Amino acid sequence: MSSSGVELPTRSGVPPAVKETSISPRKRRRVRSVGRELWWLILPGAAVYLYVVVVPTFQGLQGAFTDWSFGTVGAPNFTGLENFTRIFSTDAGPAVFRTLQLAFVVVVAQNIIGLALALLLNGRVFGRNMLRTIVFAPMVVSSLVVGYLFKYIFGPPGVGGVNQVLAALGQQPVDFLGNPTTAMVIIIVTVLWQSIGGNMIIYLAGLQGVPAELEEAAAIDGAGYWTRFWFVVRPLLAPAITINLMLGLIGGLKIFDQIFALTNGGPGNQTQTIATLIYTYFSQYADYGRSAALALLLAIGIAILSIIQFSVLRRQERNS
Amino acid sequence: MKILNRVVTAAVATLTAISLAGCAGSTGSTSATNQTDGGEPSGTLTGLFSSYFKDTYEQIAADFKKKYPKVDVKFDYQGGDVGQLVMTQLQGGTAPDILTSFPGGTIKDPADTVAHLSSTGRIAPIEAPWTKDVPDAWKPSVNYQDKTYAYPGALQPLAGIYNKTKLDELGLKIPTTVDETYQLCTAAKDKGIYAYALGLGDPAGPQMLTYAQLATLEPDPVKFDADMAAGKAKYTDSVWVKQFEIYKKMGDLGCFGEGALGRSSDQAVQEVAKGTALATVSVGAVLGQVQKAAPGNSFKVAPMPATNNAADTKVVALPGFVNTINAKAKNPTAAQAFLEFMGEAEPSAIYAKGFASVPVLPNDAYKAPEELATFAELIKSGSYAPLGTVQAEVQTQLNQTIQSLILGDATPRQVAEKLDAVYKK
Amino acid sequence: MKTTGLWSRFGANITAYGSTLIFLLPVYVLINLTLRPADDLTPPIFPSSRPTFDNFITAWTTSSLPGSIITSLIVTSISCLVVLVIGTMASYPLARSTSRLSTGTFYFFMMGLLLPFQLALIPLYIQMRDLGLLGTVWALIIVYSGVQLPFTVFLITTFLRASVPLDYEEAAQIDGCSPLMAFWHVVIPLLRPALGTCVILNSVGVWNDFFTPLIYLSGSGQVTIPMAIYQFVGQYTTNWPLIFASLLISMVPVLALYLMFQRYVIQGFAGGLKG
Repeated sequence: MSSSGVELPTRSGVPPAVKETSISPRKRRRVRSVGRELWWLILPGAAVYLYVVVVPTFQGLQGAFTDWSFGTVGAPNFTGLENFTRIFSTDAGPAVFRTLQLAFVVVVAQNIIGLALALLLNGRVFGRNMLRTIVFAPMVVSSLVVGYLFKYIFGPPGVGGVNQVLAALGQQPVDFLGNPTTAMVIIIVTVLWQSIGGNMIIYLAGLQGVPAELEEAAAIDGAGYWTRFWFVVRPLLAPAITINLMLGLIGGLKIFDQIFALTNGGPGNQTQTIATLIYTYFSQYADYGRSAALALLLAIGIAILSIIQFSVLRRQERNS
Repeated sequence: MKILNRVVTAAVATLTAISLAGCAGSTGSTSATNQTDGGEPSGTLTGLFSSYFKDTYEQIAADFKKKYPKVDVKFDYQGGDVGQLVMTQLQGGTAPDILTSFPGGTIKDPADTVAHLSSTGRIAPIEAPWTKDVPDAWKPSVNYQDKTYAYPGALQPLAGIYNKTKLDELGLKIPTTVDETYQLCTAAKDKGIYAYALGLGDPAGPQMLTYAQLATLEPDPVKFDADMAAGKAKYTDSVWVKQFEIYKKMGDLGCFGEGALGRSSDQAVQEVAKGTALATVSVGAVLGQVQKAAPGNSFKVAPMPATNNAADTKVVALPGFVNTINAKAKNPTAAQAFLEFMGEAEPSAIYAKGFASVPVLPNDAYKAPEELATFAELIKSGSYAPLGTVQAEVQTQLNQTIQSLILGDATPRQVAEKLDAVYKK
Repeated sequence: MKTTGLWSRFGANITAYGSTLIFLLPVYVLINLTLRPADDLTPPIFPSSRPTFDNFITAWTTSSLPGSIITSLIVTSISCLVVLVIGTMASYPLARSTSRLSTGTFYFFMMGLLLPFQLALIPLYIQMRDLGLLGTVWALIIVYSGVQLPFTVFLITTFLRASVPLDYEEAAQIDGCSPLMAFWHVVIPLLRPALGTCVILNSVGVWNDFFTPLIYLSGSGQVTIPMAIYQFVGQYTTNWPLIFASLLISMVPVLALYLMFQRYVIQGFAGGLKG
């Protein structure tokens, strides 16, 4: 894989030399109609999407305003906003704050480390394809099982791997998962271990769009590594940053498996997030109405935050 | 089906497998139908159980087929949260004939418990001769309005499981009063280890010690449950607070070792096996696990004292899962026949053996293994206590707030207040 | 990035290998946990004194793991194929048309990325029951085709917009291709990197999902890999060494798939980033 752009397959026999500028506006409009003419291609996908996602979701959403639970015999009763008031009078307040905090830290760390690894493994490193594979590999593992694995690694003194190493080095043991603050850190570490490979891949993809000549020219001009990174590479990476931040935010606000496996929201409810609460309401309490209400709030929250983030990022992309 | 499955397993090429699985899948869904004529059980009998006990159920099913050769038993075994699966299937009307449920429960609490399922008409009463043999203490667990809805299965102790070898080595004794429990903690700490390794980091770990001691503290759990339901009692005014005080004191004394809240049950078992902890408080099923991890050591099950009068101490006995009959069973005749069969002496003994526990129904065919001998004696003589009913939301709060208690973020009374706040009357 | 001096290259290599090593440590612990016998209580960070493959053998012989691999392969391959076909078809008009309706439809698809799965769980289950598909792999395939669609549409649409210039289709049309033929012969071949990315990310999601197959396949006698792995999870005790051993076995096909499509993953994203 060369670091200078994507190779385009030319099997179709069309020379890729045709330049966009050579197309007149009139022709262009005609070509655009290609998409319109084939509008019906959307139908199978739209049908499946409506059937599998949209219809059942709206049915489920109706439950948010009722007392629907496993105990409901017949039709559930309409209860208005009761589920919502109940959620906020009990556990949701701190969980909202914690969810935002977790997503923020995860997104920032994912991008800093992911970008650093991408820069490192885009350079001339011996066996870099193997290294990329290793960093990406955790992404293919079940995140639930990863959570349980990290429970062994960060287990209490006498059991956990890290504590064994600390003991061998004569250090004080650390109560990783029994302390709310460190438990949160371990959750973040686990999420990062699993997801950074994805961020790195997206940044590596972005780096393919950075022409080597441009950088070389800057280097000849005497620009140092950081100057080159900041003024040459970073602006060209803007789309990669946007995608990473968008997917990171959506994923970050929905983190569930790792928390469930590592702490189940404990100790003392102090790692409980919106996603774990939705699960608890749904699976533990069989209170589907309350679960749907919270799920609705989460979806709205994610939508608002991602729209804000997207518009800010797009503006910055355009400016740079 | 069987031949097809074997072909599927043998098929290496994905493409052949694709077409075959299509066939296997469609025959599976249509062949489940059958007729019931009310007489001799026949047709297909379906059921859903935890994969952990597959061997036990398969053994009982094989014996059942000897008695009723016309019945085709097709049981399904799944791991993880079987209760959640049963609930989804019940709502879809797709649940099998025989279900895995939980004993007791309350009508108001939507869960897959006997009380809730029977009150909403989701499970059918069992017509079997053994229903009249259900001991009084277990009636609240399996009966609803004087009818039996569940096969009560077998009981396991919820108690301390001690590493006897390590105790003897250190010259320590299994405590019989709560003060002795505290002393054991201090003594263990002096030897550089700790007394009780609990799975405090697990979703359902913290409740174990509470339940183990409540048996001794609460003289009449059935009355307490009724008073709670009627709004006449509160957790804050009950012996629960007393148990939380003991919990707190044990935590402060370092009974649970370093990093206790991050420990899972499995890790707790390892600690007891290694001898870095003296005991764990858990169900009898754990005994097998700890013995496997330390084959050279001997272990002993003993009740957790909660008062300073050793004579007060009762051992908690609890049935883990129970089996019920789907009210909309496709083959109710065979389902009734199966649960009737399970209550017979031989199958009950097989069941008890598989669950490492003691049969609930009086049983002459059962002989307790050595490690359960004392427990079986207690069950026979009646000196045990069943657990009261705890609602799902109360239970989740209980586990979380006990962690807060150990963290020092909540007082014993505050834990009880939290429970009262989520209790559904 | 070009690093000129010998020392800085050396440094880059050291850092790269060092940080990769951190990623490998948990894998090392995982392997260690699976290689030790049940009564070996040495901590997971040190190699077992008596390593054994017993856990792998037990996991393979006592669970439905061997059969489950085939079910998982079927479910994963068909649902990925379906989602790829309908996703690509849907993305094409979405990417090419600039009308308000088209943009709206695109965002409508994106909504699917936000929704927690619990919302639709029970209604969807009842829909599948009414179709008579419960207990068959087809229920799973339909569910996954819908659930994976938003991300697939997102990836392919952005890729089409950014990296598949209209010139090609235009040239094909001048050569006398119908719009559909242009789509088939010109656009699809150019989409390969994006499709490769989709294959990997979708199949990983399907491969590891536990709860969906649990409720849709239960009672059919068929199990997927996560269901087979969960057979070692009990009410009170859980056999972790066997779970981790099965996990390692189950990872082999996905890793192989990744190695096969690895080349495309970066290209797939790279194509989507050119906007």
